[in-house]
Amino acid sequence: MIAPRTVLRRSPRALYRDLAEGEGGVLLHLDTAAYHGINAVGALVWSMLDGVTFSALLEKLRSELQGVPPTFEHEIGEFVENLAARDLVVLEFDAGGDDQ
Amino acid sequence: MTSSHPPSGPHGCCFGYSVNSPLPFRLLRAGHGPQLHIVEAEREPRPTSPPVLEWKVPGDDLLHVRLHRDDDSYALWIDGGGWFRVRPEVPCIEVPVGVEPLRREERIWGLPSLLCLLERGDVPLHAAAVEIDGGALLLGGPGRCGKTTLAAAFLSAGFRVLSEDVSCCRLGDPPQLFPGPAGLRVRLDAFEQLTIEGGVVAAKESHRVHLDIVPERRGSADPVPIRAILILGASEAADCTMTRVPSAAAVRALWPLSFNLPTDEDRARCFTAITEIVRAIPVFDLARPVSYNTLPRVVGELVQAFGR
Repeated sequence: MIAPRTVLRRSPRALYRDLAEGEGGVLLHLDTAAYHGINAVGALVWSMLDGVTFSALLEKLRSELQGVPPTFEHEIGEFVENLAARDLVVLEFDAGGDDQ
Repeated sequence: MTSSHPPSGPHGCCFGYSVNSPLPFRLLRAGHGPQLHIVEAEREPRPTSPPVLEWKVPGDDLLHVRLHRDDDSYALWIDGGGWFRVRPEVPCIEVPVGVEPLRREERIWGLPSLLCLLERGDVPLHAAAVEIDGGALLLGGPGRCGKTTLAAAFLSAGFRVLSEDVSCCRLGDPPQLFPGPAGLRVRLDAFEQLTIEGGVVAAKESHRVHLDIVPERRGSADPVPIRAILILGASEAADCTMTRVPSAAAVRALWPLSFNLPTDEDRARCFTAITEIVRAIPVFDLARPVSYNTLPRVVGELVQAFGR
């Protein structure tokens, strides 16, 4: 699971394009030419990955979304980790360690 | 390959270009458009830099292709075709001297012209295309999936073949297709099994037959609105199954049919173009029985699905 103070940034080697309204978008890695589809919530997450901490991301998403499930934090964490594994997102770990 | 004597006559159009050239052409359509200059090269390109792209084109012949970039032009080597120099901004294509005219023309309407289409902002896709009731239906898929054979079946059924190998798409409202060369290169086994009405043999090779679409079946070079894109697949069932492809999966399906240079700028251009196509044009997976005797039924089902 991602530590709350981990800073999340979109990789400069990733491109994003919207699909039709409600259909999310697609990501392309410029180096590998691998592309990934993401749904509308994923597209919203992507739009917020501009140097935000993981805890701040969750807070922003909770303010935008309705009916957030109990597994929300886990699902978002998994999604972001998945993007990081594909080199689409950069995780900057907080040298000061985990937040409370 | 030896071909029959090419028909003479005024030049015409291909991919929305009006051909300006002293060379003979046989695969053009009537119409108007910005000029594409095609001349014999005075000397072969001598690229000094390594190729930006190099690959072998699979098919009946394994073609070695190299693409070099020199300032404002490309030098392109194609096995069996020689060196081409392409200046997309003009646009101008310099062709090698002494190449058999039909083979030369077929090569011109491949990668050399594709580079010009990209420069003018169009989106070439590796797909055949046919016209049904005033709308273009693209038939896409990997090599040897039966695009040309299905296009030939449409021709025989009285429909217009807009392109055989490269479909030039222009984004807009509506998205449009510019008809390509009026020819078909049919595998010999397919040619021997089918009676292809509307095409005349221009040349025969050991594995392939080159057909000119007869003039009265070519139609004009005017753009045709694109109705849908089909990704061809095979099915064991007797009937066709057509499934709408969700947008993200459609991007994945069209990416291998597109062309991009290995630069950030060009990959970004291509990515943007493909996603815009997917937003504007429905993409379907078509699973169909793959046999010669089911071709008329496949054509009939597609006409029913996409005709007005």
